[in-house]
Amino acid sequence: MSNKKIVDQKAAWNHVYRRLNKRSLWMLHYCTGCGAVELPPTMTSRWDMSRFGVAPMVTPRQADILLITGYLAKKSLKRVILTYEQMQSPKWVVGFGSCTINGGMYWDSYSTIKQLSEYIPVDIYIAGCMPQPEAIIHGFNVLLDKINNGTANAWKDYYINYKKYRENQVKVLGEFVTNTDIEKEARYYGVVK
Amino acid sequence: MSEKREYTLYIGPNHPGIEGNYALRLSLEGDIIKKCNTEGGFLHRGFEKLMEQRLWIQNIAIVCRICVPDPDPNENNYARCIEALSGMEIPERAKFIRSLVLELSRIGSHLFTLGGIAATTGIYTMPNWSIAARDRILELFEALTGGRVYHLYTVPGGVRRDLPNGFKDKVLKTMDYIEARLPEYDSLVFENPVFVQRTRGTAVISKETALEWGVTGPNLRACGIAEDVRKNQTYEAYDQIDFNIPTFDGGDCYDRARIRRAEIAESINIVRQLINKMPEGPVWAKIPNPLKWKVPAGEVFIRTESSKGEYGYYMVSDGGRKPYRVNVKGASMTHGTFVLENMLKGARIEDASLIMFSLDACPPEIDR
Amino acid sequence: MKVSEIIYEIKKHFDVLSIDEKNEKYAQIEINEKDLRNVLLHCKHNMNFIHLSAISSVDYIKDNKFSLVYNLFSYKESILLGIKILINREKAEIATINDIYHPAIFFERDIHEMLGINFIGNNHLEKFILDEWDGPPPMRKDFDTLEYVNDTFDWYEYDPEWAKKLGIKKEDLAGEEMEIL
Repeated sequence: MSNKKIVDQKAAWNHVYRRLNKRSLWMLHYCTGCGAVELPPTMTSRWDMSRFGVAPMVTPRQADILLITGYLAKKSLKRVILTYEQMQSPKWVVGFGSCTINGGMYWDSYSTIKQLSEYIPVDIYIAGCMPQPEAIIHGFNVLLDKINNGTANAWKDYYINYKKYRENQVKVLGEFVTNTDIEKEARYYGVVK
Repeated sequence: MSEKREYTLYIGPNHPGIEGNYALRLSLEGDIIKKCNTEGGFLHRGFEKLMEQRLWIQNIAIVCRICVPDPDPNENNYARCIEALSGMEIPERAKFIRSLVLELSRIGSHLFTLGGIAATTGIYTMPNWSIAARDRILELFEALTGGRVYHLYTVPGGVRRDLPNGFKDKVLKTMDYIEARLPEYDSLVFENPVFVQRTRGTAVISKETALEWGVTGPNLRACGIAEDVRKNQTYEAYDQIDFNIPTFDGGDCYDRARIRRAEIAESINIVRQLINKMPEGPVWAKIPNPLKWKVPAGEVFIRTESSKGEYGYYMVSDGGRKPYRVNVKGASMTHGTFVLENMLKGARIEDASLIMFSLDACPPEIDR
Repeated sequence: MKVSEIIYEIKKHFDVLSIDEKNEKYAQIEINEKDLRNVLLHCKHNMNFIHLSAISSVDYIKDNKFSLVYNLFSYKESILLGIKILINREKAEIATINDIYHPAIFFERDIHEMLGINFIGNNHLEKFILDEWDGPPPMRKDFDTLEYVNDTFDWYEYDPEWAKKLGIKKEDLAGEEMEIL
């Protein structure tokens, strides 16, 4: 009888935790590509993203959402991977625009990457070139629902399949050093034994 | 006894104080910057190579993405290069509509920049106001061309389609709205003693230095030299419009901010004249079958006045279905590299962001 | 003043190999590679061409040459003059002009990393955009970017349900090179 009560309490607490979590998300303010020009209208007073609880944050150590706005040059990809590994879990990645899906308009360029999900795990994609602010807000609402249901868990995939991601990253960028101990973090978050 | 030591500070691409995706490597002694190296390449897509692999008509889709806040001078340059090589004449109405699109894009880009300059001095209300005003112009573009930011509207031979019904009234109402906002920007930003104290006398460029360094556009006009490509090598419908070129002669950050506000007022005046004087007629000259179009061989260099400076395209055609070479010279190629490096020598670290925003260096134009 | 008068002045002192006059205020001339510095000094000091608008570069692989066009603008007369030279493609080098026109510092740096031309005397030729790239200079005509992309990157597998139901194989869905008629 007492065990059942504890299990119920834990489920109830998780429910409350997810509801509060989805209403206070910090988005990293990193303009990686040309889609970033539709972010100031979304963040300022006309479309006003902060009514959903999403506000910009300047440092990756205190941010929850990484928004990849558009294409990524190879030079930028290295900085994005370092930034992604500096963020604390749980964290979410939003792929913005059609360049993150399959290369988009620059599909035959020697300098941009074609599929973002080969290098870091992506939760949702927002289609468009470029997406309008209404589409961005709709995309964020879908992400908030997924967080509420507990199904936005792509960050765990990075710890589980780290070898595959690292292999893809090194194939494009060459050997490079990251200062994050992925295995230790994976054990800390309980994702890997 | 204290010894002065130099240290290196890297203001990297993920930083709100940098306009766009760009990096500065500074060498500091205390608060004062001794040396600055700019590092770019974070936005490189290889446009010039991509343009050689697409047909003449397919390039219209990608050419506007070279400069993100102000994409229309790119389309205009590309169209005028092809028209110069093939000897095409475009209808009068098309010239007026193209000038209208260029001026609206100029107003939008200047509003964006003013918001950025004010935000680096701590006035965070100004981006909220000016970006909301810019949104009204993006709504006009959406009604005219179908896209808010990238228009694909200026094509070789004219423009793609005529103005929709009721468009002229909408434009005039939006111009009235923006003109009514300008006194509010004055009292918030330009007459604000905090803003004046920070920007007056910061990063001065003299007339001789500006001409020697190849500074163009609003930055040159803020030093006192009244040169504008719309007047000295006139194109489209600008020879039929009556307008002035505002100048200031301080050459500091304050004048570079003020010149953009003065150009918004001048552009509103130009837009009103364009709407009232627009002739009737067709909007797209006859072009050959786009899939089989072969532009005659030749080379040409065309310049346009964008909101950042003088924008140049050098196009070479060998008589085939695809361009042989398109060489893009963005307006920020001089402003964002060695002009910025020279301006930051001797400046304080707190003003680095302000100086970069006041020069309006746009990294996508440098990296292409 | 018309651009033809300017060209007449230049012809008095130097060889002009070809003239392409587009209109009264814009022309492009071709000169010998060895005369470049002297022509530019003459244009800047005697004829008011104080603004270097751009240095444009083209790769003519069939003729085995590179071409460089120096576009000069005179604010006083509103005249645009393009000065073109051809240099050897195998041993591509030419003297710098950054002491005559200061903006050439960046233009020459950009051409050096994109095409591989060496500008003798310019000390600022480190890589700017491509410093993490170890392939050949990408704007040369013998660099095939499509082949490089197919070697380095993988494409997204497109295998939707509706195609499976209709019995369409996924190789037939992928876009092939459309033969332009």
